[in-house]
Amino acid sequence: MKQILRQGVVPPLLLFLLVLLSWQVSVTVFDVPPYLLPSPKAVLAAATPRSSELFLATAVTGAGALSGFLLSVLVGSLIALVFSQSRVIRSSCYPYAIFLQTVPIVAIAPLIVTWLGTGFRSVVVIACIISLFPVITNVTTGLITIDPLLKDLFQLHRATRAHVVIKLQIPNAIPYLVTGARIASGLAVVGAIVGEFFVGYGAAQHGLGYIILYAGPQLKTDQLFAATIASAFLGVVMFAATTLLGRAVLARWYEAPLN
Amino acid sequence: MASEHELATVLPEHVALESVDVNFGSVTPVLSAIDFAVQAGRFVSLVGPSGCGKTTILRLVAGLLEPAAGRVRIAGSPRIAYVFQEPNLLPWRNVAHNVRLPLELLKVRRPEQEQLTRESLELVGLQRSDWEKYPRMLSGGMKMRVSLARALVTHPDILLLDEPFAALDDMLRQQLNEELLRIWGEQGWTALFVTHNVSEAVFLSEQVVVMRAHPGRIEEVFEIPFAYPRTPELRGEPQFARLAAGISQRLRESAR
Repeated sequence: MKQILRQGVVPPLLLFLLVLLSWQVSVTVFDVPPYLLPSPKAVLAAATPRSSELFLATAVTGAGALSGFLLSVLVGSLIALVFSQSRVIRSSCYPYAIFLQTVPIVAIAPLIVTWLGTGFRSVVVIACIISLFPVITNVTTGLITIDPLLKDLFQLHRATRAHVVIKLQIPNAIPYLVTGARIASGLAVVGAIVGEFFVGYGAAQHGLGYIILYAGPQLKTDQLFAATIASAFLGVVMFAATTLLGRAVLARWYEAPLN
Repeated sequence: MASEHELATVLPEHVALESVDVNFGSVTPVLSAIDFAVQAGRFVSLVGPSGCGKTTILRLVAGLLEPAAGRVRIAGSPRIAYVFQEPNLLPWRNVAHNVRLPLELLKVRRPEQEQLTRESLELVGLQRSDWEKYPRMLSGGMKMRVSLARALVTHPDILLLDEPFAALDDMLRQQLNEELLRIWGEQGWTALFVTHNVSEAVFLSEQVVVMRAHPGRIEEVFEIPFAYPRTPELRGEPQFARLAAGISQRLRESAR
C-alpha cells in the first residue's frame, strides 16, 4: 500500500498541484479574462456554493458510468466467449464489433432515445456501447491466446470443450479482461457524459453532462471547469478502482501484475 | 496410411513406429521412414540435433499428431502422460490443483483425486508446505517437480519426457535424473526421454537412439549395459565416459 501511495498517488498529485500553481500564476500575470480561462481560485469559488449540486451531478454521472461499465464488462465478455469458439464466428462478427468503436455516438443517440426514452437507462446503454469494444477485443484475445502446450495437455487427457473453456480459456483471459476493463472504465465516464448531452435526465436531476452542456454557451467558464474537473476525477476514480481490483485478483497468480 | 492407435496386444513392443513419415506443411519432411520400437517398461532416450524430430516422435506417440505415412502402434490402451520442456503450470492454480488437473479432466472421483494427488506430490518430494503455493512462488526445480507430479498422478503406462530438465543447472539436473530413475524403478512405466545431453541419456536409459536432421532419421541405436539401480558414481566410471564419447562422436558424424 505504501508503495502504491509512493509511486502511484504522490507523483501525480504533486504534478497536479504544480499545474494548478502555474495556472494560477499565468492567469494572474497575463490578466486572462475569466470567460476565456478562469483561475483555479475562481473555479473553486464557483464550485463551493454549488458543491452539493456538483456532488449530486457527479454521483448521477458516476452511477450511469458505473452501470454502463459493468454492463459492458458482462456483455463484452459474453460476446468474446462466443467469438472465441470459432474462427468463422470471429471473422463474421468482428466487423460489427468494430462498428461499436467507429460509429459516432451522436448518430445513434437519437435511436436510443426512440427505443428506450430519455433518462438513466439510455445513459447506461450509451456508456456501455462506448466502453464495450476494448472489453470484447481484450477478452477475445485472452480466450484464444492459449499456450499450445497447454492445449496439448488438455487434449492428451481427453478434455471436453467445456473443460477447455472453464479450466483453461476463461482463467487465461482474466488478465486480458482486467486490461480491457481498465480502458473501458475511463470510456464509460465519457460515455455517460456524452449520453447526458443527448438523452439526459432533465433539469430536476442532472449529471455533469448537463452542467457542461449549459455552462458552455452561457460563458460560465468557471462552472464548466468545475464540472470538467469533477468528470476527470470520476474517470480517475473508476480507473484506479478497476486497477486495484484487477491487481488484487492477479497478484496471487502473476509477478507484479499491471505495473 | 493413417495413424492407428490400435490394440496390438500380440506385439512384444509397447510402442512401435513403422515407416513413419511426417511433413511440415505439405512438402517439407520432418521425419522420414522412422522404424522404431520400445518394449514395455524400458527407458529409452532420443538424442539428436535440433530439428531432427525428437519432439515430433513424442507427439506421435501421444496421439497429438498424425503421420503423413506409416503408422504408430500402441499396445493395449495405455494411459500416456507428457512432461514438457517448460513446466507449463497453470498460474491460477496452486501446486496441488495443478497436479490434480489431469484427474479432473479424466473425471476421476473427487476422493480418489485427493488421494492420488497427495501420493504424486509426495512421490516427487514436494513438501506439504509447498502444496498451497502458486507457481510464481516456486523455483525452476520445484516447478519441474510439480510438472512431473502432474504427469505421474494418473499412474501412466507410458511417460513421454521432452527435455524436462534442460533449463535447470547441472547439479539439480543430476539430482532430478536420480529421482526420476527411482520413481521409474518403483512404477515401471515405459519411458521415452528426449534430451540434448548425452551424459544424461546414458545415465538414465537402457537404450539411446541417435537421430539426424533434415529430414529426421534414426542413425543408430545404442544399448546401455549398466544395471539398475544406477548411482551417481556411475558417471565417473571409464566405461560410462567411453560410451558417452562414442554416442557424442556418432552425433557429430550425423550432423555433418
